[in-house]
Amino acid sequence: MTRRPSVGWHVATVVESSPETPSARRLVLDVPTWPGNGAGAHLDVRLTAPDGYQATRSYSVASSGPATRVVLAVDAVPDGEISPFLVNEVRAGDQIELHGPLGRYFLWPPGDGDPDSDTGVPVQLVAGGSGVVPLYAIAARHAEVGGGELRLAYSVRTPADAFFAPELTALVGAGRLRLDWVYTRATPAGWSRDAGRVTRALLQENTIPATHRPTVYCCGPTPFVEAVAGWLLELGHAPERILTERFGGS
Amino acid sequence: MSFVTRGFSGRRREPDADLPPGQTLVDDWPVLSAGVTPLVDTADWDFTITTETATHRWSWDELQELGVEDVVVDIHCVTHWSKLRMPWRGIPLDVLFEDVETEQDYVMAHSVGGYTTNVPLDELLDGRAWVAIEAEGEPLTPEHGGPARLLVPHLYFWKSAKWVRGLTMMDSDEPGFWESAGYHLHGDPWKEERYW
Amino acid sequence: MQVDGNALAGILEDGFGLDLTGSRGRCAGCSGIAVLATAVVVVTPMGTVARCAACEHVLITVVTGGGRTWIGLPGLSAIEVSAIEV
Repeated sequence: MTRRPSVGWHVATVVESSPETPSARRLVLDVPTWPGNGAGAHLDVRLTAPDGYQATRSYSVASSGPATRVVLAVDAVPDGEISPFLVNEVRAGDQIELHGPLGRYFLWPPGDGDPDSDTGVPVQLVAGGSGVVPLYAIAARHAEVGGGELRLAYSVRTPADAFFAPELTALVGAGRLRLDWVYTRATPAGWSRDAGRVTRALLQENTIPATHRPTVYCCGPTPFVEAVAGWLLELGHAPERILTERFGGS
Repeated sequence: MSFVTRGFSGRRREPDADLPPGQTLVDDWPVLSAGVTPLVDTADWDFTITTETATHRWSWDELQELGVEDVVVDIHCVTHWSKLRMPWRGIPLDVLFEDVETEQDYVMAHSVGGYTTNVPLDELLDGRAWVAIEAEGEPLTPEHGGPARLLVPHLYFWKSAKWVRGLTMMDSDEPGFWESAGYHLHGDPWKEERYW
Repeated sequence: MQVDGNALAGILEDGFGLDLTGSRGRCAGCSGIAVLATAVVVVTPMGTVARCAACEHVLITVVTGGGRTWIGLPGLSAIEVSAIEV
């Protein structure tokens, strides 16, 4: 038995901040002391004001592996304290503190990200909005190491609100991912289905059937995850194969 | 503090000299809740005081008949905001305790949903605490603790338990929910009794 | 703000040196066993409260202020920590 590398706090320098969607930015961070992270991990960001006031929030990591470059994609929550600062104020050269990598539960490969674990099990990813960030990390990792069937159902308001759209499209083009979009407010021109929220029927139509016994990773706002997890159970998925990560606004 | 994030100030404002230490004035009324907001029907609601020997019980209507008082008080939340000269209406606990016989000196307030907070009995008497049913001229909304909340304005506002259902007498000053979790057993804002 | 037990990973790691979110714990309220990451977590300015997803019993409280942190475990009978290895 080996202890996992120390987690601890790290000082990160912003290398690049670029628009991800109209309300979100992608932040590329250089973290020399970062021990690497599994796909699906998250970290805590801590900001410190000159008077010592601190505020901390959790964000999923879009990158994985041993690299000391860490990629986040942050959506600005209206009236939030941390996310609008990360989206609107932070620029290249700024420093923030990170705690991580965190989260043993939501990693792929399953079983605590164990590289020797069975990667052949089908994987169904279900994302709501910025909840795609850890699922993109999983999809990219899965494409790299290979594995069983991989499918992503991604619910976004409009095509412009999609995170990692070019990267996801490239994975589809390379035959590594089957991607099913659900647009809730506006669709691309000529889309076969009207815009609308995910329903149980839509989820069933756009995901790996329960009979294939996939591991399901679902991440999004709390009400989205609650609804999807409930439908997955009704569709016959076993509770221990449904992994969930919920977030609120702030 | 060696590490500072460029440009970050957070939501806090400058402290005000007229307020208890570390407090900031707000004009709005922030909502804090650690769970789901319960919706309480006054028809099913009653208020109890439980002593070592008896349970005293008032229905919603019986409580109003005891006499509702107008008060204007300052409130101080431990999360650093204060609101001054706020008009409330409520039933004074002096009236509720008039016929209550007890040898016990401490009180645990109980709320719908399981929240508890502890207060010494003498701090609930002498015109210092109410079962509040209105604030700023309106019936208390569920998110602010309606239909009724405890109002103990001389202590940090978590002591003013929302959705209050009753008071239980205790021999010793047992900690309530937040007091168990790290907050001060007493909670005087002027002594800045925030944490253990 | 309502989230889930995943959000406790950092604070528990800071306090105990263990990322416990993948561990199973027994709820002292309903005696059910669940992975900590599945708890219902409400984050408020006063503190963070984690409840059992099955019975709403309070499992964990976290209070932070004045540079200090308190972690309360009022509703966990036990947490399995033996599986924490690479």
